Amino acid sequence: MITVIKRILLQDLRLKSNYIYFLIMPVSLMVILGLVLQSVFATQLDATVNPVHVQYVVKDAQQAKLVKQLVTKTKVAHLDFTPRASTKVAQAYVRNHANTAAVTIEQAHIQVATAKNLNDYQNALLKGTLAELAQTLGLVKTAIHYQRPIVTVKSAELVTVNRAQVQRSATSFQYYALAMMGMFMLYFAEIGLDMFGKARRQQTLARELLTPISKGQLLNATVAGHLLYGLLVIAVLMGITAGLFQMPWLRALPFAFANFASLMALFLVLGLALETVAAQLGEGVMQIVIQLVAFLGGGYFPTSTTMMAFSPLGWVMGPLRSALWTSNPLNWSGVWLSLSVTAGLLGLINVVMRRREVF
Amino acid sequence: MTTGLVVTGLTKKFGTQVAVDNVSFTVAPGTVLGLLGPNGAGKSTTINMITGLLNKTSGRVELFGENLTPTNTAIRRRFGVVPQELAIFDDLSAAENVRYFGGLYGLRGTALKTAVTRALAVVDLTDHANQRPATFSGGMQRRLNIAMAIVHQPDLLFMDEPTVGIDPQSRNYILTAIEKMRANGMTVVYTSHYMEEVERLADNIVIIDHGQVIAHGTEAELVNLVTDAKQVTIVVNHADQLELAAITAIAGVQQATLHEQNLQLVLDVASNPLNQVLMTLIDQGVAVDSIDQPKLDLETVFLNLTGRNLRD
Repeated sequence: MITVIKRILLQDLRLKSNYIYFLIMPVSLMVILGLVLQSVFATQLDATVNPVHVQYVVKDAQQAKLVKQLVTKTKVAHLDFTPRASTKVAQAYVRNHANTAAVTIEQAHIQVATAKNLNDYQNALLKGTLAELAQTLGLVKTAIHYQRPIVTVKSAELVTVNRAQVQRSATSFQYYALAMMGMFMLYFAEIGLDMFGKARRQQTLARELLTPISKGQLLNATVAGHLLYGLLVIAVLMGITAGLFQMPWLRALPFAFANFASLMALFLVLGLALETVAAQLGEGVMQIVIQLVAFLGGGYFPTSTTMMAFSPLGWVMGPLRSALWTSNPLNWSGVWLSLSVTAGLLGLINVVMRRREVF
Repeated sequence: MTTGLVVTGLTKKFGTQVAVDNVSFTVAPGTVLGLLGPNGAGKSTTINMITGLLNKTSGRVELFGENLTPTNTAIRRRFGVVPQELAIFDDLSAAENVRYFGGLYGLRGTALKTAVTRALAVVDLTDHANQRPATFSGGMQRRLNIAMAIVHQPDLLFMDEPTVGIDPQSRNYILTAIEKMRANGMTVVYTSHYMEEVERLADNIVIIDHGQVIAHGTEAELVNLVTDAKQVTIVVNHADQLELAAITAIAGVQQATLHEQNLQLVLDVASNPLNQVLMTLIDQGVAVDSIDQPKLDLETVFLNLTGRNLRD
């Protein structure tokens, strides 16, 4: 059997189209889809939020000193404050500059007079900061009224976040690295569909069956050879995506590898099963199956967990995302399910093929 | 002495169609059996059943005293098959192809390396060992096809029309290689519809047509089957000295006529009195210039037995 496995592996590695199919194409799609759909997955605000230049006017001269102290101390990221003599001046500045806001402060009441080109993130940031400023001004006013010392606490100190426990979200490139790797595992069905086709066309299959190797040995060794090639493809793709897109495989390396391997094995054997029972229809049926599985499993874009449950791609994509980008425990159900179906199908193919007179 | 191959009552039916019908023959070790018949006669089906590639409907195949069944895979180490079609991996080099099949026959390490070198040398492909078969001529590919079948040095080699579609030079090379293998003690079952190849190689011949054995024996025995008399023409000098009565008096001479210098004889095949005729001529002082003895070939035998040509 080792002889057959070595031969299959050698042939798979020599087939140039395999490099296009299983390396160049998926990596290209990861880059293209990751670039095109970057905005959909934009979760890195630091990189995407432009600073807002706040032009503020304080009506009360005494309060102006206090406000200046407060905004200087606050140091909110992406916000900078510039005092202006009048609302008119502030508004004039805003008219001529993007990412700006004119703000008037009167006692504890703060009003955004006008703003220019602020997106949702910038607006939320501005409102939150101004609300905090208004609360502090009110607090100061009350303290002065009752002649009590002021105890201020920075909002950042009120809530502490242990950053080590919060994993960063997937970027668009990482999402599609995972999705394309999963999707191209489905294309191992094509190898399954033609697993013995070439050997039949070249007449080598009959010749192999004239040697001491049995039908079952030849079948299982051929499957094993392609499986080994598939594992090699997964390892190489994981290496490439780790380098290109900083895929965090190391968070769950054996788990990720097992998920891809089980999906690849399932589709390899599924292709072979189709070739065994309906060789003429195999190619067409398989294409439909691949597209459906890819669509439902989130190969093209994120889908609901209900949809993913109907797709073998979803069986591994969900647990993989969870393993790589959350602290949830590893969910091996997809791996076991895929491997069980694979084993069942392979057993069935063995029975059918051994009973056939012509392999 | 152990019999090499014994085929008894081999029959193959595809539905109602009988492809091979009760075929029986034996092959002695170290001999070449020619399986002769036109295309579609059932030669390949017979070989495929013997080698286990096809299930037999009925019959028995015994190889070196062992019953050949589909589950008895170990006995396959003792024979090799050169299929009718080229059966070569085009993405492996010549040496890799041979090495792969050597591996399937259980050869490993140094034994495998030596076997590959030897097999390639037998078919004169040593210099092309690392080339892909796609770069080979038809004859070279056929030779590689043979090397893959002999890498494990089988006791019995089945060759199913191994020279189809190749140039005369390559054909001659292959036939010479087979003769060498036979000289080394290999038993060969050689199927062909080229009667001249079978005549050259075979010790025994089985003629198959419509799935049935229609004749079995040596070339001479087969010729005798279809004729009991042969024509011989002797060109003589001094024909005037020839006494025709003395010639016709020789036992086995059915007829003797003289036309100018041509003495035309019809002789019994069984008694073959040609030597006696020649001695009588010498006694009469008649010099013999030449003897023309048209040979009855297997083509003629087949024509006589079936009413059609081998290549019809």
